[in-house]
Amino acid sequence: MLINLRMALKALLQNRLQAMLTLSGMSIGVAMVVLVSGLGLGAQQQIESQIESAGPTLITVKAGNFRPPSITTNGQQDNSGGELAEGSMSEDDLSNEWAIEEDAALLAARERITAVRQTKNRSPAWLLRKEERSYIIGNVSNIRAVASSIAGNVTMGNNPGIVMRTANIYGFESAWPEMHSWELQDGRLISAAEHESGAPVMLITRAVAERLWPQQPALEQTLNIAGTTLQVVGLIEDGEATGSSIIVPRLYIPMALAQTLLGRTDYDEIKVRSNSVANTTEVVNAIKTGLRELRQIPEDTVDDFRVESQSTSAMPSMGMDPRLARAVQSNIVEFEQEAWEEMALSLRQAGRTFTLLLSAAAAVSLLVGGIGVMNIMLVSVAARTREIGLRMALGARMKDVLMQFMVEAVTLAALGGLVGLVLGAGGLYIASNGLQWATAINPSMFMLSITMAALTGIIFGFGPARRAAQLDPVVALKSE
Amino acid sequence: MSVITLENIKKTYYLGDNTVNALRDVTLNVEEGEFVAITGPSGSGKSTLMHILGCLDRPTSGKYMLNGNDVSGLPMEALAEIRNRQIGFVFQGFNLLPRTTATENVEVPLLYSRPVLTSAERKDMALSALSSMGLADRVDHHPSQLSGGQQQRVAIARALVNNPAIILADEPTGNLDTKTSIEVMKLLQELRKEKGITIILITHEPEIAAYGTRIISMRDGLVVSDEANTPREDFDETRTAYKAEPVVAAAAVE
Ligand SMILES: Nc1ncnc2c1ncn2[C@@H]1O[C@H](COP(=O)(O)OP(=O)(O)O)[C@@H](O)[C@H]1O
Ligand SMILES: [Mg+2]
Repeated sequence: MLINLRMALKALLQNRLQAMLTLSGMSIGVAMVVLVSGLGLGAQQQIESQIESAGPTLITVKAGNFRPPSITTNGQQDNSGGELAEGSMSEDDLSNEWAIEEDAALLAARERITAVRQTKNRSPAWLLRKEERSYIIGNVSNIRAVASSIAGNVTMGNNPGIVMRTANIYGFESAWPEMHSWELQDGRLISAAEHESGAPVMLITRAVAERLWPQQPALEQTLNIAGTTLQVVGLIEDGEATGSSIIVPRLYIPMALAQTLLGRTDYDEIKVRSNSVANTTEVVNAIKTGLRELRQIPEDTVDDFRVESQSTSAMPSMGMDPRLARAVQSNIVEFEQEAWEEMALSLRQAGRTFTLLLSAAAAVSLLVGGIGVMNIMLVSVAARTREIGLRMALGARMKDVLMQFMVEAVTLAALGGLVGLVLGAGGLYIASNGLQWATAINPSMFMLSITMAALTGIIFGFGPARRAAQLDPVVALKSE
Repeated sequence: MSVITLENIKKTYYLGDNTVNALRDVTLNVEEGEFVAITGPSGSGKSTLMHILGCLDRPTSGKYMLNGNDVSGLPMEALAEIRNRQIGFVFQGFNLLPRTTATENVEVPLLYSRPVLTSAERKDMALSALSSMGLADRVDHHPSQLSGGQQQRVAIARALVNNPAIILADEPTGNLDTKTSIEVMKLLQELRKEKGITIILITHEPEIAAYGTRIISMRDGLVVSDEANTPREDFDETRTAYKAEPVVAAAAVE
């Protein structure tokens, strides 16, 4: 094999110009493969992340039972709040009534009607506790991140030069900033370890920074909050910051520290990120079921907490008629799921079509490269007919000759592949850094392109190599 | 012991409607250590016979026993192995690979040896074959850097490197001048004497055939005479200018 490789390199060197031309043909083909897979993969990843960011994957768990009134099966709003006749109907009554030919829809309707009505409220609602956070992390599957938050006002200590006396402190956990698309403008975020230990560090918004320290940079400034000295480690942009005002600045601090300062052990909110849009409904339901169980809520009592996915909570702010919002909201989870799945499907299909088109272009360039390899190999076999005859006379078998020329073809193609790999990677680099296109690079792509090149060598080298192997030694020896 | 036994060998070429009977009916027996010179006019079937003897081609009919084995019906793959182990070829045009050193040229048959040889073994064998041809100081030369006689000695070294039983030489002096031709013929004679190698030499020149221990004449695909010969030991080149002066063409494989 090694000797074949040496022979192949020697033969290629003896045909330098032709080999170079063929090699560049091959390299264009392989560069196309690298580019295509990089761009195709990049486009698909971009589509996925767009689907992901547009779709409801963020779930908010809040304490309190401010549920909209439930809606009855016939679409009538149930405002009575008391016990309804349906709720009191026994199953026997119903089966007598509808004994014959119940279809699935009827059956489902019947089940809804006969289900225990949740009419009772528990007051006051339980707070969100540590066990519930742990339960979600430990028992609910298909979640990517969990983070809780807490907020409250505290009296500030003595801070020379600062007139404010009250601060709104906002405790959060490390996954929170990503969930809320906080933008870091200066400094750094609070590390997971600092969240854990309740380190005396804080983030503030630029507006607050300018209020507190109008004359100097806010980074590394300190504030005395109820006897604890907190240092500013970063400036953020929080699009949703509503708790901050000029008089009461909001300070974003580690959860553990906030709980200590506020003297609380519960949370205001627990946010859960499901791992994909498709799983959001399932996660919502799992959390609901789990929390009801943990809170030991009797069957006839409504939830004393809320679990909402992103769009559910966005709904009222979208300016929808409250009555319509209410009607939609009870079905929103299923509605969202289907809508998103449909959108995701068509986007993915578009992505696949794009990749397919690019792949076709790459395949054509590889084909052209392969034809180049075939051409030079045919020339090489024709030019070396006498050598082939000689080798056969000296004992080379058909498979030896076949192997010699296959190795030559594959070597040529693989060398072209290597050059193409470099070209393709360069192209990807330009596409992503120069043109700002979405690209993706992964090692398997490079393996793929080299394999494709070698495969091209094998496929297009086989014909010429077999022609060489099948030469009649007597005829080959006589050739000039 | 018979190295070669041919019984009623026929070789017919079919060219469209024409058939060419290159060998009509050749029956021949060659003993170990003979130096057989085959002569005859052009087109008489010498090369065809040589191809069959060298297992490069198979007879249309007849039986060919080589070292006691019937090889006339063997497949090409098996014939390749026989060529590799038992036969050494010397060609008129030397047939050396260009831009390849003498050593590497001599190594070519060893590339196809089974069991596989290491590159060190191959190199050792090639070097000792070259030095037995008096080319120890030319091992790294390319064919283009060697004279015609040296090239043919490299080719003989290549033919010998696998210790074959037979050497088949088709017009080995055809591209050489008189003096060099004599050197090559003397070399072949020494090989026969010292190693007992059977040599079959094809030539249309009676002066070259005279080096053999036996001279076979062919005509129209038939053996027309087959006589023992007292080999010429020395050759007075001034007496018979058997050849128009040097026609050295370093015809290497291109
Ligand atoms: N491959 C072939 N196809 C057809 N005819 C051939 C072939 N090889 C040789 N011949 C014919 O066979 C006869 C013997 O040829 P050859 O053995 O080469 O003679 P020599 O070597 O004695 O000159 C010639 O008539 C030649 O034309
Ligand atoms: Mg001839």
